[in-house]
Amino acid sequence: MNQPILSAKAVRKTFGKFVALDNVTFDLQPKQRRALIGPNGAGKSTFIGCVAGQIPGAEGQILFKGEDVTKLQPSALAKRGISRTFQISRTFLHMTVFENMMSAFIMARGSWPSLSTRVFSDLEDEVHAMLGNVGMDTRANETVENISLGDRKRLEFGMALAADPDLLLLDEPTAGMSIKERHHLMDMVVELVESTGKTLLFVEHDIDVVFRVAEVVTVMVRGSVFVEGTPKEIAANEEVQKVYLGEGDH
Amino acid sequence: MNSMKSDMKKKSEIDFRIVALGAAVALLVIFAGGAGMSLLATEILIMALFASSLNLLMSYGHMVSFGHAAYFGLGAYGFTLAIVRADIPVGLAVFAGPIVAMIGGLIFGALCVRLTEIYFAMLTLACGQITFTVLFQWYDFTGGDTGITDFMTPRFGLSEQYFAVFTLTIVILCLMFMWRVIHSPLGLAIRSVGQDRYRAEASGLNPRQLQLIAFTISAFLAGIAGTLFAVFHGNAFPDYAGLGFTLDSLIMVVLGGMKSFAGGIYGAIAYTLLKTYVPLVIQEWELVVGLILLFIVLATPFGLAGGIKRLQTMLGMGGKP
Amino acid sequence: MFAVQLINGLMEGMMLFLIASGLTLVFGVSRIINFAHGSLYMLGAFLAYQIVPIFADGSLVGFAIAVIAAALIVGLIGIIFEVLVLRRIYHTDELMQLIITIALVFIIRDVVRMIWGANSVTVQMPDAFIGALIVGDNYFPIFPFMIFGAGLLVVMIMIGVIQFTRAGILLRAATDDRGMIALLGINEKLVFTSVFGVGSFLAAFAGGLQSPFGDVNYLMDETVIVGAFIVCVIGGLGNLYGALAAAMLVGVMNALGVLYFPRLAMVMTFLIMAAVLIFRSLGRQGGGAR
Repeated sequence: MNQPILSAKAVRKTFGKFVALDNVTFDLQPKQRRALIGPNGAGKSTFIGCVAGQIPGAEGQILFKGEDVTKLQPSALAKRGISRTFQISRTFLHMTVFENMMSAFIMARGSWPSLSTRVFSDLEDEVHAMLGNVGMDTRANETVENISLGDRKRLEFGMALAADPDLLLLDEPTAGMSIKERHHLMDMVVELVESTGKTLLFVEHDIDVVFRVAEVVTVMVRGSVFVEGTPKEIAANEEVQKVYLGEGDH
Repeated sequence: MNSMKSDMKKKSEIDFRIVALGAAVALLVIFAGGAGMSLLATEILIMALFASSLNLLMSYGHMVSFGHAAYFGLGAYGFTLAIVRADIPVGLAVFAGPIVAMIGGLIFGALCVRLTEIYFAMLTLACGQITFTVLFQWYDFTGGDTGITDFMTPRFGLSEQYFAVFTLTIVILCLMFMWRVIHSPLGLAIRSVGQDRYRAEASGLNPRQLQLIAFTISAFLAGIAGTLFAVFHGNAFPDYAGLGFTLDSLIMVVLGGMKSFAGGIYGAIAYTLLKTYVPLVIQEWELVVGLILLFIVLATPFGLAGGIKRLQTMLGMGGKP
Repeated sequence: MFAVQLINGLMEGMMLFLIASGLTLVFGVSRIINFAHGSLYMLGAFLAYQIVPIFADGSLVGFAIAVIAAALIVGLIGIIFEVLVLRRIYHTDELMQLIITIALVFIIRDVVRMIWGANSVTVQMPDAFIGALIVGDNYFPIFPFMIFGAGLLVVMIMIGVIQFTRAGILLRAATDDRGMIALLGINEKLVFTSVFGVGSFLAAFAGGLQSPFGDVNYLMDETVIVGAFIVCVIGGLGNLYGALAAAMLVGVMNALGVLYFPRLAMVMTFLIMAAVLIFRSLGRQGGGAR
């Protein structure tokens, strides 16, 4: 096996007395598509937040490409090649779709410290191409406030890709979408991730989507890694089913 | 594709027709209205710049400052103290004002951007009051509450009308600069942080750095306004940095309209006119302003600019924001 | 001299606490920064000026009745304002809430000037408050002690209410977690309205109590509100006991400052306020994005 691109060693995160993550140890191989599943409150989103830096103060060690990144700020992590989307999509609501994507590009490229609009014209084609990739090019001039939640998720996914990251973290990319929309979005995700050779780690509640997309599935329960395996193994695992039936899935 | 290309570009370009129109209206008021109107126009122009500098912070950076007068005051005092204490000639001292304000903005801003929302506002209030108190109490250096007066001929000795034209020129240049900033890559980054700092951060931006840049630019522009004000009146008082001016600037922005470039300008016009003409009819002009504010917040959250935009769409004019 | 100033400082601190308690209470529950709090204080002082003569000038009972009546009137005004205006904007931008209360500042200021004029008025001090205690060479006016006593009474009532009554339990629940009120099946609107009413009452009570001590004029709102902000921020916004400690600290520091570093006294409080805010920010870097 190669050196893992992401490696979590005994990661622990507490909020006051509440233990959100406990002894999470986790290796992610390059170019793998990995799903993170588990009942609500299992710590999936918290783990994503710790890796991407939004949730500071984790104990233990998080290595990215062999470098200890546990204490880095989100912006520093982004520059090292970690990109993410949020559970409730985060976009710039009062800008157009085009401006959102342009902003993602200038932020990722570090070309924002400029007063010259040349920066815009230089990036314009790439912005349109990325909007095309996520199927948003025809809506480029609409204000994000006015587009659907599903479209915002697609836009945010494109914005995360704009940084051309090595590791892509998607926190519930299909939440709030219809079944058709879900499969459509995830097919697109798989295609883009495959073609550019990125590593994908995603949190997902829809088991259908998980089994279609993931190569490896990690099940988390109450802040710890419960079991890991291929979709087939997980589907056959009685313990996992007990956890899901016992604690209820959403 | 081409249509979109031109759209982004069009948005960032300065529409000189609007600049010319605004300048023409101002010049008409100045030259047809005589000395009295020129003084009023000068005041409005300075306040428009001051309010716009706050608008840059509030509408684009999503930072509500409760101590913005500090930078107005630092501009005024930077200029006057350079003349009075350092014997710098007036022509050079005018540059000292904005620079002092900018440095003040850089220092206070570096502290303030560590906080968000209401805590940010409270820290800007503290910084503003610190500035005011120092100006107010440091008698030996700032002259305390008696201020600094009689150190130059007000308006460089220009006539009311020529000084109004001078102010108009400076204010237009500053507003054009502000427009450029907002519609540049830097401005896009500032707006991004203002709208969702977590998304911006996850995309590789350090939000505090951007906020500090916005804060400093805003303080610089407020400093220019303060310097102009000190030249205009030929004096400087601690009140220029006080809570009264801070509230004035906030009210102007809300009155004129958040989320629009012209908000500060409309607000300054409306507020100054109210302050000037309402007392001629009834004494209680503050009551009128208070009621108008109540009405605006409850009825049209985007102020005058929002109302004008709505009118434009109704008349099918489209037009620029 | 030190002892005298220390005691004066504690007196001033108690006064500051009375003013700030209402502000911090309202913020704790409704997340509203009420810029008009100083204006309500001023209104309380003017109403006391109006009412005191009705109940026999100079008598202690008359003064007490007048102050409480003034505070009740202002509390009612607060409730009306909350119901008619504030209630519509809880869901909007924090800024809009601030602007609304700033509008109220302007309105109250002009209404006060319309009714009572632009000149300062004085409220007659109850006879029982006039005079001084003489301890050794030191001379302590009685009035501040009375204020301190009244303040202490209010503090005790507050603590009693907060710790031991159902309303207090609700209040603590609401301050800790807004969703809690809904969970407990309590009408949220009612809680917000009553808290704003109590906050207004406290502001006016402080204003009325303080009124014989100095000039009462239509410009006092600004100094009062700034002082209240300082205390609330240092004590932690929404934290009542924190406000008590902060008020004492600021009061004593002002009093001793006048003695030892008169030039710096005013700026010191703002520096502490800034330092507290910055120190707090060190504690929680980043934030909880989801």
